[in-house]
Amino acid sequence: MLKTIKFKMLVLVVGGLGLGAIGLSWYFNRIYERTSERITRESVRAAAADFAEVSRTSAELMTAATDALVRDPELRAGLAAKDPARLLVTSEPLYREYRTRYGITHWNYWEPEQANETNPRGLRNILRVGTPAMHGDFVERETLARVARERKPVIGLDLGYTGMVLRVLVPVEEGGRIIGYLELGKEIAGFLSSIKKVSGDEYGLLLAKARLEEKKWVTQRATAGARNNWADMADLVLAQNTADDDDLVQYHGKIADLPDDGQTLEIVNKGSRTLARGVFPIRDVAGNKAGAVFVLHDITTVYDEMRAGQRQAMLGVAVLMLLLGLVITLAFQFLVARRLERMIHVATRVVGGEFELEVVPSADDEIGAFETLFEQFRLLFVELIGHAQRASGTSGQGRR
Amino acid sequence: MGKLYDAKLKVEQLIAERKLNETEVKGQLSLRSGLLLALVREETPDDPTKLEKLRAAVRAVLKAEI
Repeated sequence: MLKTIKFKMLVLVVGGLGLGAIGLSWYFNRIYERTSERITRESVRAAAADFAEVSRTSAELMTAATDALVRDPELRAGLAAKDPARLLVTSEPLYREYRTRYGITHWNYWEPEQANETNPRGLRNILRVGTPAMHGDFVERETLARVARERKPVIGLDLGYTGMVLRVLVPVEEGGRIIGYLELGKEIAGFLSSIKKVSGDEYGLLLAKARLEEKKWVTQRATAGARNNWADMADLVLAQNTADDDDLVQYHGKIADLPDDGQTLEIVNKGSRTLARGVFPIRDVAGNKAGAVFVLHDITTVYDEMRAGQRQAMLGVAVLMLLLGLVITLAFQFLVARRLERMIHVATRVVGGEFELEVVPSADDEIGAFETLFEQFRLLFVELIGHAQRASGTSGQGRR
Repeated sequence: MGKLYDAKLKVEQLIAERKLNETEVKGQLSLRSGLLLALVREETPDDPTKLEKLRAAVRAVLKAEI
């Protein structure tokens, strides 16, 4: 059986189709990888665009609010007097409303820089409406330095002690003289929830540790009843995560190496879910990469469809193997094997003495040509036997 | 009577007893032994080598000793 042409041909067919099945499986995987890569890239790009859009609308909202607020005489008077109590009375009710309705988390007043200051690095705080007990300190921060230097509105992301905040700072003038600065801000951690509502994806906000203070971070996490996650990553810390699992939102690369349009990361399986991951950097007001947004996109459906397609293709190949194997076996049996067996049978009987048994070509093909040749050999053989029998005096018929 | 011819007769006897196709069996034996049985007759001279080949062929094809 193992030496027959039939078996060898079956091995070739099954082997060929098997290789085809492996190739098909690889091809499906490749399509899946490309699709996943494309979907992830699109998710990262969409998230980056959404993030930029939320930042833009938030900045516009806060700019509009500051435009209106700086015209309030009571606020201007409080600022000119550097009176935190007066400013608090004026601002607190509106701050609560803004916080609830628009997510404005920061509402601060700052003293003007010293008259002889040529290159201010920060400003002295008059009042933080959100935390009124904490005031009077001098804070060095890029947005404060810039508004003091440029004396015009400054908008941008700036890291605070505990997180990244989109800030709008405006100078407040009285008679051509700056009497102080008003600052509104939104913690960008809240942006992620807004983007999630639109896309359905999960997001994580990663901040550069180098720009944060560990002690304050730990204290803030403890106050919020959250686990101290400072040591989870080498250079980054997870500030917010819209997903349930912090393990999914870990990036151990260098934030400086991240391209501005983001980077796709490896796909992970969590339970029954398959998640594509990507990350894009966010820049602070100075243009430095100060953090990153991690994107988690659920591609379970794509993955399941790929697996189903792969299973169907493999099943199809298996059925094809069976059918082709059957067809080839039958075709070989009828076209080759039976005709060869018949020739062997005739040859045996001719040698056994049935000299007149003719081989009639059964078809005009390769085996038919061999049958014709075999018949010519038979005739020669019979003639030789006839000569031999005549020479030895036996009858012309081989059978005795 | 030569031994080869005697062996041929025994083969024919076996074929007849077992009601086998004579030319089919003789053909198989001839092909296996290299001895054309149709040409073996009474006066055919003995050849121990050919005889042994025929016996071996009979053992293989008919499972019998001659």
